[in-house]
Amino acid sequence: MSLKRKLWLVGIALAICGVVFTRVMSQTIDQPSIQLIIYLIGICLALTGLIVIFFAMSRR
Amino acid sequence: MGFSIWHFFQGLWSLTLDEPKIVAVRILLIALGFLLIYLGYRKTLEPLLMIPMGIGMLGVNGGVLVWEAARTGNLFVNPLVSDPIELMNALQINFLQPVYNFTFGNGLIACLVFMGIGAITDLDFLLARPLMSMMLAIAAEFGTIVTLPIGVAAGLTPHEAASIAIIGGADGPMVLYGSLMLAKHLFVPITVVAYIYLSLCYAGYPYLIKLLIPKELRGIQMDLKAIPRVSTGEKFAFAIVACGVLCLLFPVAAPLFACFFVGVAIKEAEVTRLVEFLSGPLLYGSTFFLGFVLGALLSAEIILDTKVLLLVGLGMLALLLSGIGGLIGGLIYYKLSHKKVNPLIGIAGVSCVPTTAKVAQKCAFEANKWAMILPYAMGPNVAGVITTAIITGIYVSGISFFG
Repeated sequence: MSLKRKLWLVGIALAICGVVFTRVMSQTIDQPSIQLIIYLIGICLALTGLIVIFFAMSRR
Repeated sequence: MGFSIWHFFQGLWSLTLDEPKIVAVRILLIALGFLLIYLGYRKTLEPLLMIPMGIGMLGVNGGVLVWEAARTGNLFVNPLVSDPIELMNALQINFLQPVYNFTFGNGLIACLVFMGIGAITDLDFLLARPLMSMMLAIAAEFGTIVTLPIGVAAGLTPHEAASIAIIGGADGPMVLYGSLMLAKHLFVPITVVAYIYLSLCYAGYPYLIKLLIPKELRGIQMDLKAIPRVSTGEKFAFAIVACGVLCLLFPVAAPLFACFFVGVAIKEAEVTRLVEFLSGPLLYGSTFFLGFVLGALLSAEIILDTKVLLLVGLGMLALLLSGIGGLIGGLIYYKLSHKKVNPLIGIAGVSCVPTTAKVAQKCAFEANKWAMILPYAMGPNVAGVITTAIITGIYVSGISFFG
């Protein structure tokens, strides 16, 4: 598999993990401070995924 | 009520019926309307918005009628109507009421403008230097982040402070959408303040740049041959993935993301007729009604809210801090790039597409007539739209979720 495809897959996987953290995991915890931390970690993960996809794009 | 000479001059008669405070503010707003029209005509402020906004302000504050029982009102719009029967009456009487209720009340106008912005956004500049563009855009959100706690400390609720802080992102439709979602009672003053300040960016930011960046750094030339291109297929795929992820992350801001990326996707799919429609009639038509209705909403009763003065100060602070943040980011990148990057491109991170990128180019050109930095400045400029949308999403989702 080419590096480009690997980066696309890693980016999408990170973004999905981020969404799961933000939308699912944060809802399962009662303590607001931990809930906030998981929410923010999820957002950072998802955005990191999108930035990884930036680098997957071939440039000419 | 008997007939009197005043019936022929209702505009003047209405001035004798309301409280002196309201009358004074009304006269002030009429004068401000004239000023906006003049500054728009002279191109000192953005004429696309300021001329319709000024005429809206002039019309609504000048065209006050006297109803039965010496009550005053107008035939433009009444944003405070909520009772269904009164609303039905207002929809049939006030000529801008349908535009307000069906496009402002639900944020549609911001979404339409965003579709147009999406259709004119070229992701190439962002993808050419993704890390630099995103970092500069994040640095230029300094005002958006810092104004939130300052606003809370100044006595605003977190929702109100977040709404005014979004001005730091310098993205008009985002401010409108954010304030509608977070502080609907203040959305008129916040959005009007935002648009007036955004119009002032072109005139004001060059002074900030000259204050913070020495002339020899402003004139640095950048290599235009080093800008790579990305295939439309990959940009299309990115737009779809980014739209899906951001909608999943921030459902409350999903309409904005969906509208922005539908514009981007249509552009990258090269659907020429739709691109022409979104970037022409839709974008300019929405911008016209945005300005005109906002002006018509700015009546004396709305302005007399005690928080408005605070909003005026905080809005300016947010934009100032974002400009400073962007320029500091530019200086950091200048050092990191071994003095190859012109630090002026940092100001373009304050999105306001494409005004701040043009400001960066204008200041570079003044320092060195061979310095062409506009294509590089467009990268942080486009990234700024995305980061502002993300921060708006975080504010709308996060504050609603935890507040």
